[in-house]
Amino acid sequence: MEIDFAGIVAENQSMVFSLALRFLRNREVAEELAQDVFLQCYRQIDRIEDAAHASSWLRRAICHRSIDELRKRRLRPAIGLDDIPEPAATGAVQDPMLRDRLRGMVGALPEKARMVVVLRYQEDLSPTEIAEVLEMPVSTVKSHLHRSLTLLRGRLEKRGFAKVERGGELPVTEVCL
Amino acid sequence: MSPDHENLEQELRASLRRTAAPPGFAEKVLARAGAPLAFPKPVAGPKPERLRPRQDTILPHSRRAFTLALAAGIAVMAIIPAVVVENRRREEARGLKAKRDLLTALAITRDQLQQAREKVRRTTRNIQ
Repeated sequence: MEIDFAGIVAENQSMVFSLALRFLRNREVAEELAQDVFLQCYRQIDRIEDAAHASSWLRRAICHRSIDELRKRRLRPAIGLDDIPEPAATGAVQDPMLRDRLRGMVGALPEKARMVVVLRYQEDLSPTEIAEVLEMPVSTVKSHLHRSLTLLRGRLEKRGFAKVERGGELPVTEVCL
Repeated sequence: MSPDHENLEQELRASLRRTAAPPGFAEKVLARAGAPLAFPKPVAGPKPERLRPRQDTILPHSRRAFTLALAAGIAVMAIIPAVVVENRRREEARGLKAKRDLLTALAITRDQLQQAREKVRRTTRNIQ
């Protein structure tokens, strides 16, 4: 059986880089950290069983490295290059200002809550999967999600972004996971 | 889940969707790693199993060194007596030669003394 490291990089580079970027909100640091994580993976390649294992290993590694990096560098959520709207805007979002504001607000969440939200909405992981990645109880994950959504909704309303495309105001209701 | 709540989650999904890695990201990683495009997956096994081959590769070196040292020791042990014997033989030969030279010198001295004695006797006879 052969492990194709180049294939692993090609397949996971977007996921690893995006997780670091959304969490750290600094493109240069995110790229550097993502590269480090891939190098770490390469050094431990004999422990990688297959492509799926590589993906979960990389996801877990980048999450923990990002949290460590944030603590180390004391990166403050600030307006940076990432706040500039991205060109590829396809999907449900029709308000680029709302999207940018949301990204900035997620970046301003406390570190654990921020990582939970990024894993939930970027990687579409279930609370159980997030709990495994971040090594925390599922109830804590759900609590982070609930509080984060409540906080985001409240901030959006305060800044006048509460009105969304369907005309409905985003209510502060309990999150059903 | 309410439609409004769904809407917020939808917005979050769209806002946080994956971004493409910077151009040349994969190339940089592969260059830093110096990685081949693909390499064989080692057979899974416990760590001690993986350490054994390393020990195997170390042990023959020790054995080889020990064998070389042993061979060198044997060679030295064989050479030293031969050298000692050869030295003794040379000493003996030198002694024998010295003995022969001494005997030759004594013989010459004896002949010369005899000649001198003969000469003195003849001279004495002529005087008388």
